[in-house]
Amino acid sequence: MCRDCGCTIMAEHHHHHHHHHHHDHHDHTHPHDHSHMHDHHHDHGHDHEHRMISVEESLFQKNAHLAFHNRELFQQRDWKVFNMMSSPGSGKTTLLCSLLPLLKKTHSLAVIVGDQETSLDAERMQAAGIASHQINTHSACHLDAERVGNLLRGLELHPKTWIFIENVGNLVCPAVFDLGEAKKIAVLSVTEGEEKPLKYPVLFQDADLIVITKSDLLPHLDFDSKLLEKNLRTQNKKAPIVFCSARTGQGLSDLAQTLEKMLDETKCA
Amino acid sequence: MHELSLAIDLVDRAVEVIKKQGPVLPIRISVLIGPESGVDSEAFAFAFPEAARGSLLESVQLEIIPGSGREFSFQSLEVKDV
Repeated sequence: MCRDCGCTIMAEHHHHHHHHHHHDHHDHTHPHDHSHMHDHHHDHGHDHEHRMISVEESLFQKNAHLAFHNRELFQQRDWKVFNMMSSPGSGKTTLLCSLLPLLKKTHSLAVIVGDQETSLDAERMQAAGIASHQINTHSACHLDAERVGNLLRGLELHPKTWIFIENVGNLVCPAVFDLGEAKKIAVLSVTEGEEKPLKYPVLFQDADLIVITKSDLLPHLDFDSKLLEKNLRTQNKKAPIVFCSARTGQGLSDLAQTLEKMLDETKCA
Repeated sequence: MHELSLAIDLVDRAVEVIKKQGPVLPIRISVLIGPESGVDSEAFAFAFPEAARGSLLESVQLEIIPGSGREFSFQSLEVKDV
């Protein structure tokens, strides 16, 4: 049981082991090998007692716990939340500014934009007629479940609203922090090179959808789309890969359909 | 960059564990960090003393155990009864 609220996500470890042992070896690199079922009392006859308290809990637990509650909130309110992650400059904001007007006729939409500083992206979205909210992370390199939950909890949005969370541009840290989203979207632009999925595997491994942006630039680049797909497939066998261009609109209706289909699949599951 | 906030979470959690134990002096804290955890061991080791400053863990020794995958966990805490 969770120690704060009784949810089941934070299983507390009740098997604290009490090891009494001598401590000559201050440089050993192992935790003490012990069974999880018993308390061991090794009396080696010394005066001061060192005890080993076994904890063995994930340090992502705090975020996982908050993400669990976000997911609960999103389900209660029937919000469809997407977490978009990419490096800075891959074109997340531009993509949303082109994609969302296509979805606006049929869906209630909102955007959460994470950046270290400024509200420039939120202003761009507002100018495109899309309700948006900026989170400035200041020193942090990613959005976490706490920040997103605090913001979304206070918003009055219609049921079935599609919420796009534009994460801080970074291929490493955002991949590690679950926000409670329904789907993770990895965004990669063709100017970033075919090897990004190999260099930053975790983000691509966990993606439910991979969007390749700036496809209008392909004729001008020595970019090998087949190689990129091959590299992506070494990390992620299942996620749909959609090429698109926010500038020309190419691939955007495909992308909209793919998003729709992904949410339908969630419903059936 | 996120290593500092994760180190602060570790310190907070360890302080809770220590408080449950009664009067003890923490000696060593062990953390398991896998290569795909998204947590950099060096950055974590650098951030930890900052996170521990002024807390019950101020003079504790940090032990980082290399993992094999995505592990990032607070393994154990060695304490001395006082």
